[in-house]
Order: sequence, then structure tokens, then C-alpha cells
Amino acid sequence: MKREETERLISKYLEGATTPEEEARLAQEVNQPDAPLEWKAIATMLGQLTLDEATYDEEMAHRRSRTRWSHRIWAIAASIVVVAGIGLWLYNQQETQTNMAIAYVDGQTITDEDRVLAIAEDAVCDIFSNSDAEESLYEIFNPEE
Amino acid sequence: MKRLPTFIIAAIISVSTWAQSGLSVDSVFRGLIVAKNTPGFTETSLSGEMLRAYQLTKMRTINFLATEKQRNHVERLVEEDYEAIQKTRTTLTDIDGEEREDRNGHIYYIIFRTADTYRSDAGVRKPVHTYVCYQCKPKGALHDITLVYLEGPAKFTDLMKNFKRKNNKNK
Repeated sequence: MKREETERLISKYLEGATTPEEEARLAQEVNQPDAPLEWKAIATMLGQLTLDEATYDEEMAHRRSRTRWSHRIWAIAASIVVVAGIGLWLYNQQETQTNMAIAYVDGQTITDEDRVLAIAEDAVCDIFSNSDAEESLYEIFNPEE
Repeated sequence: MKRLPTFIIAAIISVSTWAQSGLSVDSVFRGLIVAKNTPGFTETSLSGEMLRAYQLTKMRTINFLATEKQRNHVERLVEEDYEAIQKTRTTLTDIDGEEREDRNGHIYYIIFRTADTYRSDAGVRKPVHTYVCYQCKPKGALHDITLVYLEGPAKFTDLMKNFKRKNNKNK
């Protein structure tokens, strides 16, 4: 709180026009270690009870704030763990090259590996059979074998 | 704040889907050009050990009959992906990885390597080759289209050798 605002609250207090919340704020300000001497008289007038209430309110506000942040941090950490877990699982799935064979023929689903492979091979071989490249091409590119 | 974890999970799931999702032809695989419930539509998705013989880790194929308009649309998307990769090619070795034949002003078949992806293997970053294969054969008034996406360490010559060999065995 700025000094001017504290002075204004002191004037208001001396006029008996402050609310309990304003008195609590004022009590905190005038009890600061570096508060001017003239404010100490106000501190005495406000009494220890008001100061204790203010300190209590401030502490509770801090705790509520800390709890909220603690919950957020746990939520973020849990999300990261879940996402990292899913990512690792998917990565391992790719790395281990899980066998998958599925075909749809005229709306029918086929999962027999041999049949699916045969259908796929037919399609690929049909395209590669167009090539008139000699097999010696392989030896040209792979002389070490 | 509550939306952030949901967004991250959605992002992870979306990037873990098929890698062809970055290509123009992805919309064909998703059935947006020719619906998947069209009679004769055939789709396969494979990954894992069963593709080891081809030095591949993923394979996806679709085959369907298309009208001329649909054929032109699919062809344009294939061309888009092909042209996109042409712009990035800078070295001679990049040329290894394509075959193409046009007939009557349209692509009859094309096989080309798209941008490599990378995967980590025991801490080592290894390139993974990706290929798009397309074929369009006339079938009466329609067009018999086959579109394939391949992914794995296989080089173009490996694919050529393995699939041609398999084709010869089938004959």
C-alpha cells in the first residue's frame, strides 16, 4: 500500500469511518518494521486483535493460493506423464513393427495374413511386371553381392 | 489448459497413422475419389515381419474401377507427388528409383521413390525409403486402377528383383 493511501486510511480511522476490512489492512501497514513512528500510535489504537485477524486472513489467502497452484502443478505433471506414456507406447508400436494384415474386398473384411499378403502381392507384382528392366540391374547397383 | 493434453494426444495419434498421409494420393487411399464401398474396391494394409522378404515394413494397396473423370483426378494426384519429388532431387543416386510408361497421353504405370522418412534404430537414425506405384489399365468403358504405397529399407532395385521374381513364380 502506498504511503498516501495509508495516511488516508489513518484519517478515515480517526474519524471512525473505516470498515473492518480497512482496519485490518491499516493494521498490517502500521505494524511494518519500517513504519514511521507516528503510525505506531495508530497501531496501538488498533490493537493486537485487529493485527492478528489481518495476519490470519493474509496467511489463509496465501494457503489458498498455494493449494490452487499445487493442484495445477499436479494436473500438468499428470497430463505430461499420460501423454509421454501414450507417445512411448505408439513409438514402441512403430519400432516393433507389429504385424498387421487386413484387407477389404467388395465390402468384406479379410484378416487371414496369407490371403491378405497374396492379394497385396498380386497388386504390386502386376505393376512391377510392366518393367522391362533386366534383373542384372540389381547386380549393377549391388556389385558386392 | 484442459484442452492442451487432448490436443497433444490427438496430434500423436494423427502422426502415427500411415506415412503416406503427407502425399497427394492419400485422398485416394482414404476413399475420397472413389468410395470404398464401390463394387470391386479392394484394399489391403500390411506391416511387420510378413514383409521381411521384400525388405519392407509397410505395404498398402488399393484397386478399383474408375470412370474417366475419376481416373483423371487420381492421375493428377499421382503427378503432383511425382513432380514434388522431382524438385527435391539433386544427386545422381536420387534417380535410382523410378519407372514410367505413358500411353495415349496418360500414365500407364509409374513407380517412383518419394521423400525418405527416418527411424531410430538403437540410437542410429536410419533412412526409410517410400515408394508410390500406380497403374491404370483400360477395362471396357472404365479404368482398372491399382495404387500402391511401400515403405522400408528396400532399394528400388531390391523391389524390382523381388517382385519380378515373385511374379515369375506365380506364372
